[in-house]
Parts: sequence; C-alpha cells; structure tokens
Amino acid sequence: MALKLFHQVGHNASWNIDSFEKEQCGDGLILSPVHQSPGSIDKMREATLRASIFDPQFYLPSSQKPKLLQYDFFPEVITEGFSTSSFEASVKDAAKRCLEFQRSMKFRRLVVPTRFLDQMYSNYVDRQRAFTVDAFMDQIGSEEEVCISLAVTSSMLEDEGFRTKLLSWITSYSNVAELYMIYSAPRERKQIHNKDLLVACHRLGQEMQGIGLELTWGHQNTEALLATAQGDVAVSMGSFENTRIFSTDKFVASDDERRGPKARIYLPGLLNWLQFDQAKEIRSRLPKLWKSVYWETLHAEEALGLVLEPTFNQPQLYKHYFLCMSKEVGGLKSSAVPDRIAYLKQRVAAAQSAYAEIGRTIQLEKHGQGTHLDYWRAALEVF
Amino acid sequence: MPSDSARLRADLQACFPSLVIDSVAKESGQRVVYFAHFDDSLIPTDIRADPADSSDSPDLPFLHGWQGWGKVVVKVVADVGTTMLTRLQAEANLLAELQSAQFPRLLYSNYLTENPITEDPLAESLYVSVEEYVDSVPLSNRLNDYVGKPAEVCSLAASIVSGLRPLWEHKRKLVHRDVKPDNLLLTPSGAVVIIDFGIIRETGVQGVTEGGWGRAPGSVDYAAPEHIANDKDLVSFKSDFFSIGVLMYRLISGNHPFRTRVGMDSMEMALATEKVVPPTLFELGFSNDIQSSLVEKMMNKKPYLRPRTPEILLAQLETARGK
Repeated sequence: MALKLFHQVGHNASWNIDSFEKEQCGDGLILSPVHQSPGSIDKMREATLRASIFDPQFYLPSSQKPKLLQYDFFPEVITEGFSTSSFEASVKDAAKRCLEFQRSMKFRRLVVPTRFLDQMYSNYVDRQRAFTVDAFMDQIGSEEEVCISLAVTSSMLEDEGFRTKLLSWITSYSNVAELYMIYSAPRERKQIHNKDLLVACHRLGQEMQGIGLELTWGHQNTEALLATAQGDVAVSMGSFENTRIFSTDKFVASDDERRGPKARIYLPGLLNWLQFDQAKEIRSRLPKLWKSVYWETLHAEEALGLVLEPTFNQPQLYKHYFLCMSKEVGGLKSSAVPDRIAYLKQRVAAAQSAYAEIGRTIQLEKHGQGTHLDYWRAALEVF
Repeated sequence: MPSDSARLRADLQACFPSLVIDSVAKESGQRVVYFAHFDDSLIPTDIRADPADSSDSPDLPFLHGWQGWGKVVVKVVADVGTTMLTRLQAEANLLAELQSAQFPRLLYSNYLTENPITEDPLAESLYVSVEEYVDSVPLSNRLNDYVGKPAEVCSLAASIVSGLRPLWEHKRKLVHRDVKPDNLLLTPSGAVVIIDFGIIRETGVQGVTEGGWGRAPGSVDYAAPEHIANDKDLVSFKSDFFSIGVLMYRLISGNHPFRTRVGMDSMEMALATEKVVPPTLFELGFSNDIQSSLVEKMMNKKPYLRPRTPEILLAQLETARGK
C-alpha cells in the first residue's frame, strides 16, 4: 500500500478525467453516477477505468436525480418507486445488475453500496445488511476482494462503541479489502472545526493500517492533507463543494442550488480556499506574502489573467486545486508518518502566521479565514 | 442436565439393539457421550426398518453393516428441547456437508420420539448421533506439554485455523464459537481434529438463544468478549481468532490469561475477558516479540483489530513460528 490521492468526480467529470489523464494528477477516480451517465462512463479509457472505482451511491435510494435514474439497478428505478419493502423483493436483481455493470467496466475493485443512515440505530447493521450488503455479498465469491462504501455521521466516527461495531461488522467479511469511508459533519463553515472528528478519523486510519485494510476517504476538503498523517491511506479531492463536503442534499437539490455564487481559489500556503477577489486583493496589496501562499500553475495564472472573475463553468481554479493537491500528496508519499506530522505542523504554523499578516491588512470573509487551523493544530498535537 | 443412567442405556439399547457401550466419554455439558461399537450379531432377525434412517448405506436395512464402523462416538441428548434440537441438527447437517479430514465423520443422526424398531413412543425423546471415533487425545490432556514452546504452538494454531477455514469460508459464514482444549483432538500423527459444533452460528444471524450479556451459549473460558455479550452483529470468524489466541497464550505461558485465580466463576471470567489485559508473553519471557504481538492481536477486545482474514492470520502464524 502507498499513500494515494483520488479524484472525487462531480459535475463536469471531464475536468477530473482530463486532470488525471493529461496532467497525471491523482492515482485514479471515484466515479459518481449522480453526475455521470452510464454512457459517459462507458466512453472512458480502459486504463482510467482500471484505476478507478464506481460508487453506486445508494445513499438516498429514493433520489430523483436524472443521471442516477439512468442506472437500471438504482433502487428508485428497479422498484419503480422506492420503498424499503419493495426493494427487498428487488435487491438481488439490483445487486446482480450493479455488479455486472461494475465488472463490465473493469473498475479496479467492486464496490458494495450501503445507504446513508443518519442515526446510530441499534439495528444499524441489520438494516444495512438487509438493504444491500447481504444480497451483494451473496453474489460475490468469498475469494473476490471488494470495497464497501459507508457514509456515516461525524458522531458515529467519534463514538468509540459505535465505531467498533461498524468496523467489526465490516471486517467480518474477509473479502472486504477496502473501506470507502465518507462522513457528514454539521458545520457552519466550509472547513471542519472539530478536533475530535479529526482525531477519530486519524485513529480509524491508523487502525485500518494496522490490520491491512485499505482505506479510501471520500468527499474530503483540504483536511485530506491531515489524513496523510494516518499513513498509507487514500485521500480525495474534488472540484465543487458537493464533492468536498458530503451531504445527501446533493441527491435531492440541484447542483445549481449548491454552488457558491463567488469563485474561490485554493491557496496552499493558507491551507484553504479563498474568495477569488480577496485572493487578488492579497496579490496586489501583499505581494511578498502572496508569493509564499500561492503556488503558481498554468490554470491559476490563466484565471488570474481573466478580465472577469471565473465562473463555476470554467475549470481553471479546480484544475489548479488538483495540481496543488497532487503536488502536496505526491511530496508526502515517501515520507514516514512522523515526518508527515512534523511537516504538517510546520505548514499549519506557517499558514497561521500568514493569516495573521493578512488580518492586519485585509478582512477575509468567514470561510476564507484560518479558524479551522486551530483545530488542525490541536489535532496534530495528539496524532 | 442429561446424565448417564441405566434408564438411558436401556432406552438406547432398545432403539439400537446392536449397540454395545464401551465407556462414558463425557457426561458433562449438554449431552452424554459414549464410546461404543455395534455388533451385527445382536441385530434382531426381524428388523427391516426404514432404510432411509441409515445414513451409511440406504441399501442396507437399519443397523445392518454398522459393525463395520468399528469404534464410534455416540452422542445422546434426552428429552430434547427445541433450542437444543436446532443446535444438534445444525451440527449434524454441517458435518454431513463439510466432510473435512479435520472434523469427525458423521455416520448417523436422528431425532427419535419413538422406538425405530417397535414404533412405540419413547418416554423421553432422544437425539442420537453416531460419529467416527478418532484415535486421539484431547488437547486438554496435553496442556502443559507446550509451555515455553511458542513455535510449536504457532504450528498447532495454524492447524486449527486451517481446520476451521471451511466453516468461516462457508457460504453461511459460520463461526465455531466453542474453540477450547476439550474440543481439539490430537491424533498420533500430530493432526488436529475439531469437534463439537453444537453452538456453531451463522455470522450476523439471530441465534436461538435470547440476546444479552452473559447469555451466550457455550463455555466462557475461551470465549470472545462479543460472544460473551451475545452481540450477534460482532460475532464472526474473528471470535474464533480470539479463542485461538487465548488458547495460544494458555499453552505457551502455562497460565490462562483471564483466569488469574482459583475458583473464578463464569461471571467473573466473563468480566475478566471483557476488561483485563494480561501481561504479554514477551513481558513474561515466554516468547519473542513477533509471537507475543500476534497473540496479543488475536486477543484484542475489538474484533476489527484482530488479523483481518484467515489467510493473513495463517501467514502471520507462519512468520511467528519462524518459517
């Protein structure tokens, strides 16, 4: 195993695909039926498919999202109107079709879907088993290694008893070789402000390393960098916020509703995304500091050269992020965990120092501020 | 509690006239176990029972040819309740299905509510199974032979793991749940035969006993915490890993990791299994760090932190024994 970085594919999947194929960013993709039709996946290069997994996204089985409805195994489709009882009768068929699709595309590993349950139900495991897991496992040979997808709440990760229950259940399948883990966390800001969650993720990553279970974190924002301190796990990067912050809203609301009105750019030296116009203000008013927080890429230079602010339909700022993350993670691959932690501590300290300097000149809007770094620093202290 | 008695023997011999009981193998637990053999010359001449009752050869009448089985193990439960009957039938079905060299061969099993010869109702129902006799010694008789021999114990554990793999890899994901020295037989060739599948369970499936801490069936000395807690979501092949880990610790150190004083009752043992972290074998000077760490990992209270697959465990046992 090695530290890996995957694209969390979202709207405009071609940006992720281009970034992976043409700029060698990342180690593969996590494909997304809510954003990609079966036909578009079928047209992808075989080498790219073989480096990727397909997340069936049964998290909200009654979703009406048009692209999801193009998959004949999606619960809402196969039942012609999802209900738990109707799906019970169809789940074997859904599993068969879903696995056939995944096999036909030659993805690097089969993914067993689960649904998103937002409460720590006492029968959580039973519900997941009855929903999909038993039916999928029945159709997969015990020798065939699979990945299981699990979207949980931050509370579930932080609760040691529940986490033990979940992980013990997952590892009771000896052919589960990979866990694709997504968390949803209540937040008022785009970055995570919860040390306990960061530490719980860290512990989980370490434990998975200890037992040799591959762990792929999905829907990560820049905290993916912190996750590199877990060891040789796979972290993720996405373009729009709904690929960097998990919520079942994206299976309900339209993508248009979820997009921020203002463009943002990732500044590695601040470990955060800043509003584009505020970034340009830093560039003009604090040019020396700008050089320390900005990593030049062709895409970012192109965006900074535009007369008008880039919109969400333009890829430059997202491809810039992919390049930065690829450089960040690539640079850590050969480092041992203690060195990664030491490096991240330095980066956080430098970012906080830069933020302090910016604060003396420019008032950043709340999501662009560095308040999340206090939580990162506290978490790093206990990693 | 079933026990050997003149009445039980009389009932048995009325149902199986050619049965010759040689000795009582075991009387404790949930059934009486006899060593026995069959003598065809004792079969009444008028027997022409339903040939379907014979699991050995449907072409021969009931009891005929059973002498050829030689020495056998006869397990009997009288007045069988539905819970016990379910378990016994599960064990019989499994042995018949798996046909592993590391499990005893099942020769016959039946639930009798009437005498199969006279068809008269029995005063007490009987569940009777006949298994091949395995020339062996139970590991419980050899516990102290392994003290300070971690490499040998790793080999033994690897053999137990290999023996149990057909259960764990069965399509129903079975778990033995009662791996302990009494249920492990050592043959003269050094092979391990695993017996007593009475409380075997399908992973994640509701069992026949009521849930709740301390209400799980089986003995507690080698049981995993999740088995003691009767938590069906957590009981898996990892629970058997825990039992094998406890067994390894006991064999290598000469001391049970959780039975730290004489006279501990089952509730105290259950609590100790759940809470106590014993000193490592390395700390005690009984093994090297690799062997000690593996046993420690197998005995982790959290199932997911034990070795992830049987294959990985076997590889780690190989490494630990120095091969």
